[in-house]
Amino acid sequence: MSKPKKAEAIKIMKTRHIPDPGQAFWDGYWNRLESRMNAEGAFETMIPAPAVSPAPRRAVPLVPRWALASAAGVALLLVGIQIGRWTGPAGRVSGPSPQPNAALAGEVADYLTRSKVILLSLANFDPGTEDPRALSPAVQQQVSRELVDRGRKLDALLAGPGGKRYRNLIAELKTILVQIANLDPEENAQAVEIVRDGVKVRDILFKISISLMSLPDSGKSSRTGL
Amino acid sequence: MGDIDESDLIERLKAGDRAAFRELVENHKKTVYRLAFDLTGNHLDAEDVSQDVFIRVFRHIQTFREGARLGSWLYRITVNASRDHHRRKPREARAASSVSLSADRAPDLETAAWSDQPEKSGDAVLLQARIDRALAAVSKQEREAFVLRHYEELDLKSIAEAMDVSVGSVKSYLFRGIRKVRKELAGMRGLAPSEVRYE
Repeated sequence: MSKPKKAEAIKIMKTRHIPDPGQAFWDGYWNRLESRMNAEGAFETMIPAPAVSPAPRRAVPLVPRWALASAAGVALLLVGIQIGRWTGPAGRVSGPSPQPNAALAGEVADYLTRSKVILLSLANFDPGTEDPRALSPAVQQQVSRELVDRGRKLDALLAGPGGKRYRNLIAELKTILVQIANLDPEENAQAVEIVRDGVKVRDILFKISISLMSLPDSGKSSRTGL
Repeated sequence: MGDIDESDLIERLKAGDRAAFRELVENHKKTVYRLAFDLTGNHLDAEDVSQDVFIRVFRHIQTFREGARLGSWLYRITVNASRDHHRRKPREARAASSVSLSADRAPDLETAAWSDQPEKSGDAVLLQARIDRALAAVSKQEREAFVLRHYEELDLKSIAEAMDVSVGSVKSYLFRGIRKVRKELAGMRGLAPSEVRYE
């Protein structure tokens, strides 16, 4: 649209004539307005001024915005890392190592449970108050020898990458089980104490418990009945 | 709408002085009515809207900020009251208003018939009818922008404040409005418009 045409249109529009409603209209304007306001109760509905309240106290003290933003960023990063650990693929970040298959896991669980029973009988023995012969060494020594033999077989079966931690535990158990197998409490009561100390120092019982918890449930239940 | 200092009047009105309110009404009734007429297009609606404006002024005077211009506030209230009136009014009633618009024009027609220069008076009536039709052809917002810019002669910023839109939107409304008006006025060159406007 060209400027002259636009100006011409506006010039024409500006000639618009508003009819004067007349003096009578203006003279009665207030009376009509007042009547309407009285009828509508408008004179009683003046809205009060908004209350002037003191400035709200700052919830956060004056800390530079960049500091708050940095802190928020770090917090967000930490939360993200934590969520990644919880929800990421198992073994990728900090998940458990590969497990032996179910049958082998049952064998391991059974071996660990039997070893634990033997060790507990020693750990709970008090040489100061009990007769070393109450240990029934014949039975414990026989079981220990069997467990040493089974340990050798399991060591061979756990040669894969997921079996390292179990092989290490079996090796530690083997040392103690061999001591038990060779124990002669009638001739050397101190030998019982040496085995007990070895169990405590190596935290063998704790390691057995942890390993049993990490094994598949089917293996534990099917082989040990736990 | 009047740049005179009305701070004393406002203070008295805020204190609930009804005489101050009447004074304010008397000072501004003609300008408010004129704007309302330009926005609505007929006398009856213009009076209703102008009364709505003054009722709102009375009710909300406590919220009027010290130092603000009463005229700017009145523009904004009038535009809003006009919009509300338009929304409340059924379509049928709006159509009837256009008939009453003709009734408003009746004195002009009568004058034209008895004029010493019947041809000129007839052209003037025809011109007014064409202008009214052109204003009716634009949208509500385009009409508001056009009236505030070319009849009230406000700047773009004041129009934007009165319409509660951006300056860009005002420019857009003005451009589209004038284009439609020009289309309605096509072929009217040659008419000799008088510069009469009601004061």
